[in-house]
Amino acid sequence: MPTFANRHLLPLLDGLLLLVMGLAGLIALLTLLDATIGGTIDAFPAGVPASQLQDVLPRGVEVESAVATVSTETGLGYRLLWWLVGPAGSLFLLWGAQVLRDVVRTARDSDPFVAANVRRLRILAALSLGYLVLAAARPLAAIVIRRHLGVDATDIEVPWVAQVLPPALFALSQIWQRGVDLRDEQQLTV
Amino acid sequence: MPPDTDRGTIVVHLDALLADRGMTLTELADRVGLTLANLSILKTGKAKAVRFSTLAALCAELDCQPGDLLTYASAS
Repeated sequence: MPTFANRHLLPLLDGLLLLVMGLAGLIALLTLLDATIGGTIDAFPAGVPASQLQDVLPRGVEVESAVATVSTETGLGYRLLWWLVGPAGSLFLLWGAQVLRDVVRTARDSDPFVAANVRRLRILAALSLGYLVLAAARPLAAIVIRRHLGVDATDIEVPWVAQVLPPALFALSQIWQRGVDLRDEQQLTV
Repeated sequence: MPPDTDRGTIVVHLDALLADRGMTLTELADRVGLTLANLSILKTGKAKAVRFSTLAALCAELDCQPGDLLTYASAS
């Protein structure tokens, strides 16, 4: 019997996940383009005195006006390092959204408590673990690049969601497996 | 709790009883109110559990006792 969730909420969720996939793919593409083009321009606030600004800028950069622009050209090796980390996260998100869409479809069309969904949840747990590694790798890559440019390194901050998600998804997959076992037992009860 | 592999199994003698009564599986399914697929699960020994109501209905239609329908075979 079709319910409100089946008819409206699950298709809406499916559509949202498709949108997430599109955005993730676009972000991956833009990050890749950004990495291959190379070079950044940063502008400092006009209120900073020129004498103080000169001390923190990399060698060879001169203060032109009250608003200083810093143009940096990173080498191909460093751009590739950034490229590996940036788009990889978006691709993980794209893959994870597709796996989640498959789970949503089984819930919408039939019985969600199937062995395939247990496997999908474990894939999501693995993907979220990979994303955690990337979340830590990106600040590390930024530190390496900043040190190469002679700029002070930033602190590493990994989002708490990225830390909590892998064990939570793995626990959910174990609970789902129990649901599959109970469903199998119910179907084989005469 | 010992693992399932150490325990015996429950053997279902539905085939023999149907043959003795001259009844088909389809007829029995109709009479007890089960689907043919469900009754096949019991007949092939794939069932994980049997409801008392189902067992009572089967015994009523086959005119037998539960011990005639189900027996225990030890693992050894």
